Amino acid sequence: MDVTEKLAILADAAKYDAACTSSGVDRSGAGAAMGTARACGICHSFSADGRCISLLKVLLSNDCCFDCAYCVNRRSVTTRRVSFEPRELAGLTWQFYRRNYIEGLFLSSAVWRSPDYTCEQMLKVLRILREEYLFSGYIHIKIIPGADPLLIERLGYLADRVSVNIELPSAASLAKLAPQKRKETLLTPMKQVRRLVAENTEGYGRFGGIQPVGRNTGSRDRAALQGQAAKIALDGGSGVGARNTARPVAVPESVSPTRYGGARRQRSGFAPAGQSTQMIIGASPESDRHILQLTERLYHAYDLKRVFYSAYVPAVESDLLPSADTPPPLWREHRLYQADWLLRFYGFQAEELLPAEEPELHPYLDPKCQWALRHLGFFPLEVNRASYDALLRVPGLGVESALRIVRARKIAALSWDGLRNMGVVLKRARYFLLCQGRRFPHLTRDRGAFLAAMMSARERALFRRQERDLYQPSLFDEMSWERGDAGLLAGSAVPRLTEKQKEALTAVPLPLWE
Amino acid sequence: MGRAPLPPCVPGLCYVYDGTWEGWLCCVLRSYLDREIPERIVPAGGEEASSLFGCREIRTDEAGAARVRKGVEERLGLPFVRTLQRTFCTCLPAKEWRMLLLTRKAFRYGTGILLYEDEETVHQVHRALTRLGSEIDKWWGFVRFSDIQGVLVSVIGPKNCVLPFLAPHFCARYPNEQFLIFDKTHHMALVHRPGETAIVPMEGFRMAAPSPEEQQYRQLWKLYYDTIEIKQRHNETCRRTHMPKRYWEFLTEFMTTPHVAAGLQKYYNKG
Repeated sequence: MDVTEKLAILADAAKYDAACTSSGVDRSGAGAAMGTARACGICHSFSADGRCISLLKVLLSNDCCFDCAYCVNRRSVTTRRVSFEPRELAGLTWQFYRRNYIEGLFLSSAVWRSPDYTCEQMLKVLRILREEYLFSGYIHIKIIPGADPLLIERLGYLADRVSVNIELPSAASLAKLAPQKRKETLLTPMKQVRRLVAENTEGYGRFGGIQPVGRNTGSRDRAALQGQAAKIALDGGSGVGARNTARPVAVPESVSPTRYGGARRQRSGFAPAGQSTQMIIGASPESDRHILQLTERLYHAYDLKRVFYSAYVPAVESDLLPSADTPPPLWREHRLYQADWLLRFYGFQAEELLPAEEPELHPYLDPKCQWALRHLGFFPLEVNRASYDALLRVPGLGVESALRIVRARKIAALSWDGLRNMGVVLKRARYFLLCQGRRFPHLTRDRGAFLAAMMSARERALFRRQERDLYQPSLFDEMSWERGDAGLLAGSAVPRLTEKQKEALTAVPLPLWE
Repeated sequence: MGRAPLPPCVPGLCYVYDGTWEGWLCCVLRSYLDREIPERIVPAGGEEASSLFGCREIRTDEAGAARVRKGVEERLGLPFVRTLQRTFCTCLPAKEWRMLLLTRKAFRYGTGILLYEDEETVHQVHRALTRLGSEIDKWWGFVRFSDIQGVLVSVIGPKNCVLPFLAPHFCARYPNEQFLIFDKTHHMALVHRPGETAIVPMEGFRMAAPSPEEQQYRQLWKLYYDTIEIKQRHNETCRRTHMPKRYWEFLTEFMTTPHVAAGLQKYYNKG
C-alpha cells in the first residue's frame, strides 16, 4: 500500500480530534537543525469546515484493540486497517515541513496491539525526526492511556506538547461508552506529565533531572530510572507537592542526557509547551455546568494549557449514542469555548458563569452576556474609572479593547467618540458603560433593540425562527430585519431554549438607568 | 498643550520623492527647512505624481537622510524609528504624509502622542500597523514552497510590504536551505542561501515545471487538506474569514493543475 492511500485513511481517522495548535513554545533554529517554533502558534491553512490546519494530524495506526462506542476506529467496525512505517511518516513530515505546509506533527494513534507497543512505535517516529533529521519544529504527541510511565517520559522529552484525552466528561459515561478506558488510566499519565513539566521548568533546569534520552538505555538504566522516579514520587507526593521539592537530583552518568546536536540542544526539557486534553461534547448527558467545572478543575489540578471540546459527530450507529442523523452540537461547543476563554483570560469562575440554578449555557446569548444579565447591579461602569478587571466583564469588550481603554485614558478622558475612534465596538458595550458620567447618546428604552444588540445577526435569525415555531408573539416586531437571514441559517439546527431561559429572556430587565 | 501649533498645511503643495525610506527622511528634512507641511507626499512614477502642478521634487541625499535619522533616533528613540519603519511598509493611503505629521508632532509634543489612540492620524497608523502585523502572521503560514532542483521557491502577493518581516522567520526556520520568495505586488524577492540573505528588486518570476517528486508532495498535501475536513461541520464563511480568497491563488491546496486532480480521483471515490 502506498503512502498516499495510508495518508487518506489515517488523516481521515484523525480528523475528529479538535486540538491542532502549535503554540506555547518559542524556539529559534540553529546549527544543522531545521525548524523553529513560535509561542503564538502559526496556522498554515484552514480546512473547508473553518478549522485551522497547523500540524500534520494523523494516526500512526487505526488498527485498534479497544472498542469505544463513539470512535470510528473501534475494534468492532469493519474498516481498512493500516499503519505507517515510522520512517515513512517521519519522511512525510519532513517534506511537508520543508515546503512550509505545516508547523510540525500531531501524532496520535489507535491502540495498536497494546498501549506499550503503540507508544514504542510513536517513539521511533519521534526519534527519527529529532535525532536523524534534526527536526526542531513542533511535535504534539497523544499519550495512549495505559502505557508504561517510562515510555511516556521519553515521548515527552522529544515532543513539545503532550496530551491525554479525557474523552468523556464523567466516569459514568466513560464506563458506558469506553469500557476499556478508566478514569484512573487517564488521570495517572496526566499527573505524571504535570509533575515532569513542573520539574523541568522550576528547580531542575534544562540539563538536570531525569532525561532518559540515551541511545542505549538498557535494563540497568531502566532500574536506575525507576529508582529515581520512585524517589521523586516519595519526595513530591503525587505531583501536587512537586513545586516545593523540585531540587536537583544527582543523576548517574549512564542516565544523564545524551545530546545529539542542534535539535536536542535547542529544546528545553519535558514537553515545553505543556499538556492539553480533549473531551467530546454531546455524546453523553452531562450539563454545561458539569463540563465547565470539570474544565476549571483540570486547569487548576493539572496545569493544563488548553482543554479542547469536540462536538460529537455521529460516525457510528450505537444504541448508547445519539442517532446518526443528529447534527453535531456546534453551538454548544462554541459556547463552551467562549466560557473557557472567560475562565482563562477574563478572570471568571465556573461557578459565577453557571450557578446551580442555571446549569446550561444560553443558546442565543454568549456566556458573558448571560452573566451580565444576571448581574445588572454591577453596571453601568464609568469607562474612565473602572478597573481593567471590571472592564473585562463588560459584554462586547475584549482584552484588546480593555487594554486600549486603559492605555488611552492615561492621556486624556475618553469620550464616546474617542472610544469609537479607537476601534472599540460599542454595539453591546454601550448599554453597560458611562463616558464621563454620560450614557450613550440616544439609547432607547427598548427591550427588543437591547436583546437584538446582545445577539449576532445569526443568533437573532435563529432566535426569531424558534419564536415562530413556538407561536409566541415576537419580541422583535418593532425591529427591521437584515436581508439574507436565510443564508445565515443554511445548515444550522435551531438550538432549543430551556423553559427557564425562555422566561429569563422575555422578562429581561433593561439595564438602562436614568 | 500650550505650545505653538505645527505650521499649516500648504494647499496644493506636493512632495515627490523616490519611494525609498531615505527619500522619505529627506522629505522630513525639506519640511523642516522650509517650515511647511505639504498636502501630499507621493512616490515618483506613481499615478499621483504625474500631475506636475504644485509638485516639488525632493532629491534623496545620504547626508540629509542620515541627519534626520540621527535626530529622530536621538530625540524620539529607537522604538519610534521602528514604528515609522513599520508604517513605511504598510499599504496605508497617504502613509508618507501621515508619518510626517506623526514625526513632527512627536518632535513637538513627545512620543506620547502614540498613545492618543482616539486621534485620527494615530488611530490610522495603529490600524495600519495591526493589519501589517496580521498579514505577516498570515504569510508565515501561507507561503508555500516548491522544491525546484533543490531550491525552495514561492510566490506571494501581499498587500503590505511583508518581505522584511518574513526574512528573519524563514531564515531561522530553513537556515541550511536555499530559498526564494517572490513578492509579485512589490516586485521584490527574498533570496537566501546558507549564511547569506538579501532582499532584491525583481521584475518578474516564473516557476519552472515541477519534478515528479514535487508533484507527488503537492498531491499528498491536497489530499490531506481535502480529507481533514469534517463534512458535517462544513462552514465556508468561517474558512474565508480566516483565509480570505485573495490568498488562495498562492496555496498548493487550491491548485487545479490537472495532474494533481487526476492523481487524486481514485482516493476520493472511496470516501
